[in-house]
Amino acid sequence: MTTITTSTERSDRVAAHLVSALGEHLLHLDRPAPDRVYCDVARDACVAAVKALFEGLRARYVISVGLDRRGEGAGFEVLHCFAMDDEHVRCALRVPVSAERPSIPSITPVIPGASWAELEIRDLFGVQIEGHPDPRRLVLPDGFPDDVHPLRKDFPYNAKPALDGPSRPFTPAPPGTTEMRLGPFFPVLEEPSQWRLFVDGERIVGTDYRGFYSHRAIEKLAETKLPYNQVISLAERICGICGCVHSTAYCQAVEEAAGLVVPRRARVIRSLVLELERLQSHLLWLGIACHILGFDFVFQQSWRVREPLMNLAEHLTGSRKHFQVNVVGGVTFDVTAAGQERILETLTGVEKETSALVKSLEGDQALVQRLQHVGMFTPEEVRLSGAVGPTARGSGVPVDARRDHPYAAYDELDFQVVTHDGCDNWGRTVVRIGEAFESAKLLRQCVALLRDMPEGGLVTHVPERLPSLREGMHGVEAPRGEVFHYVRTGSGTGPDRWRVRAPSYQNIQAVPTMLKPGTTVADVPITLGSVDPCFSCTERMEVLDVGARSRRVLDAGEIRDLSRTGRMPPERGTR
Amino acid sequence: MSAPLGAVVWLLLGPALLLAAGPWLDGFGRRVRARLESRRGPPMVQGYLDLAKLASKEGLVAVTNPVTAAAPWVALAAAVTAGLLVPLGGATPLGFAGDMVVVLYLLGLSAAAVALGGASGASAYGFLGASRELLLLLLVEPVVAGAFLVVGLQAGTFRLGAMASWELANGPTPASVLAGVAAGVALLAYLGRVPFDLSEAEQELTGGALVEFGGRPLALFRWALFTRWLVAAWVVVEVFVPTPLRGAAGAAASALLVVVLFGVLSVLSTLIARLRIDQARVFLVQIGLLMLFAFTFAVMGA
Repeated sequence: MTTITTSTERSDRVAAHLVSALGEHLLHLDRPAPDRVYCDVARDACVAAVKALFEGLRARYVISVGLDRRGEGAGFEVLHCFAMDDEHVRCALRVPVSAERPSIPSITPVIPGASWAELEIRDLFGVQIEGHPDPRRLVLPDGFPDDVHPLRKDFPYNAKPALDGPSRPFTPAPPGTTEMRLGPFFPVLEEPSQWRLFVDGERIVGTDYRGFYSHRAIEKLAETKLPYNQVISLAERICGICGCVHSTAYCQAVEEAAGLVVPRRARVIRSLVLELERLQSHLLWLGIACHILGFDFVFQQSWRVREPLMNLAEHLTGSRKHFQVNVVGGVTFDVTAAGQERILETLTGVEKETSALVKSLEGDQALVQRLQHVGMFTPEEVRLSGAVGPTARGSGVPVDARRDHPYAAYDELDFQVVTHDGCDNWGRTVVRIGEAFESAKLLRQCVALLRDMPEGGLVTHVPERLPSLREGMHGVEAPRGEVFHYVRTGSGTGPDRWRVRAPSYQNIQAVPTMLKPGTTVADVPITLGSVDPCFSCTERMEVLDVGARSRRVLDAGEIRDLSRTGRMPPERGTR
Repeated sequence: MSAPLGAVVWLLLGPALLLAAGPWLDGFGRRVRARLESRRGPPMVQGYLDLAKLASKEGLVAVTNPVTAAAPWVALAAAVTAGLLVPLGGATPLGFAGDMVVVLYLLGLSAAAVALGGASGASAYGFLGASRELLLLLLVEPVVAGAFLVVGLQAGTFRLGAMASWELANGPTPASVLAGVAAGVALLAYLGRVPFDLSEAEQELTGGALVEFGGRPLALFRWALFTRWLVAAWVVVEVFVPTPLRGAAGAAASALLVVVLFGVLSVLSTLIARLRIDQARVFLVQIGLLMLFAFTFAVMGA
């Protein structure tokens, strides 16, 4: 069990370290919340400061956030966010950027994992990145003008510039190699993204990635149009399989900025729902990974085992996915005695079946052979790429936001951070399987906690107006790794800036590193799959009869009947 | 029935029978797999339905050259011709001395036609799938051929009908049992089923050698594949587990054995993850060693 005191002892220590490490680079130090440190550094000293943090203090790189503060009479601003996991402290380096000629020196040469974050700031804010090793455009679509930057405050959210700008150039294939394109649409890439593989026979020589095909501009929407509590619905829909981690991280960031304290029962319910989400997500991943290896037996079985969890989620929250459990200051519903009973009942069955399935996998030499020593990812590479979650823990790096930066009720819960020293696809598999069982343990503990406390008291009092221009940064350990949300409150009813960093943002950047020399084409899909890039699932069907202007939603049983008989099942009256 | 008349009847009836029976095996295999996966599975006639659906679609091709156009027909014709030479119910209406070699060649040609078709397109996936298909063929062909050679050496003939009669008369010998096991295991690779479906590998190569094909050409390739499954399983059953029954009863008994063998292969195929080409090579070389033992036994006369 992790016991974290609310005293500022740790952040005092980190602050002292920072003062001595940054020396005269440090202009100002701010500690708005316990375990949060913001350091102002001059633009020209920012690389030295990043080095002092990343190399000197061994801080973990999280993300870089761009801000447009020209409306407040300042310029732009870049926040380089780090986490000191051993000290349970998050800190950010605040770098001011001039409004006239916005540019900052690149930190990617020091931290390769900062590459996308910097390019995103360049694309969306127009802050030039000096010395970036691959300055091609990243986020903006082909044709989008080079001098229009959507996240600047003077860009209306619904503006549609003429698409007569430049396109993103492709890296040419090295001489003597053939180019194979995985994507933008490929059987095992459920989302549009393109991996161009440069192959010599079956061997991979190099790769070129292109993503951001379906960028949804949700940050812009939240910053311009939505009040705090409506952003939650948007956050929940960032991911189709682990949406709750995003709404939780967002709410926690807002709560931190506004200084709200969430009631204990609500925190337990958040942990409960998050663990339910992790358990179903890991079972889903196991199925997908085996499907990639042509092992559909496990795919079908693990999804069958997962199904009771989806039904449980529907019973508890009213929805198989997109639970909508969070609200700023607490949660929207209670888990009653009947729900608690159902959780325990479901877990017994799921655990038993998962054990049986896992046992058969561990003895499967053909499967283990396909996974072992493939997709090698060393602990140092984990650090440099900022990879998180099972992707990091499968390389023996014990980073876990639940333990390192406790939120919800994790400080009251007892669990193991599962790691594996394999550093390969097998290691990442073993970690996820182990975590599935840990999640079941955690769910039981949450139920026990709920039983011992009175019902009710789910939301704290939230003032009509939240304090303006306050910052919060919070993480949630998603099934795929740490989700990080930065929120800066606005002067109105919604956020001024909201930056989301999903775990896949760092993990996908690390995939080319995993495709070591000697990797074959056959290993690419499973190595990609080993970081568990996420996709959205639609398991309900809605039938629209345009002619009759009628609408009907089929439930699980009706879809099954339809697929078995080939005939539309009769309507069972209004329900 | 006189021999020439039987040959004529078989020549007319055989192809229809082979073409009609092949897709049933597909439906059967999928049903076996579905049951293992806790699913109900498609109807037994799904193989026919798939072919009908594909055949009704427009056959768009990315490149038009004689090889691409001919490959599906060659694959199907080779598989059917091979099937005509396999003994049925103790009778070999079209058999001749050395027909075993011809059957193996024709089955190999049918597989090679898929690779040719894949390589004749312009897709990197097609090329890679074709190269895997050929490599796999090079590895598995000696194992299967060797197994038949063992029985042939013992029987003193390479005529399938005579080999089956010898096996029936002289019972299973250590050599023929070993060779039969080697051939049975190698069949998974020979038939291109998971874990050896490397040349198609939907999740890696999106269909590999077949990626450029659709509609009728694809239907022909699938039909050729089904026929190849049937013929390969049939010839293994006839030579290594011949039935003493004759006529219709013999044919029925062999058919049952083919279904059982194919069912076992489908179970294995469901329960093993796809191998990488280097792992497939190691596995097939090991099976090849088993076959060499059988060969040694056969030469020693055991």
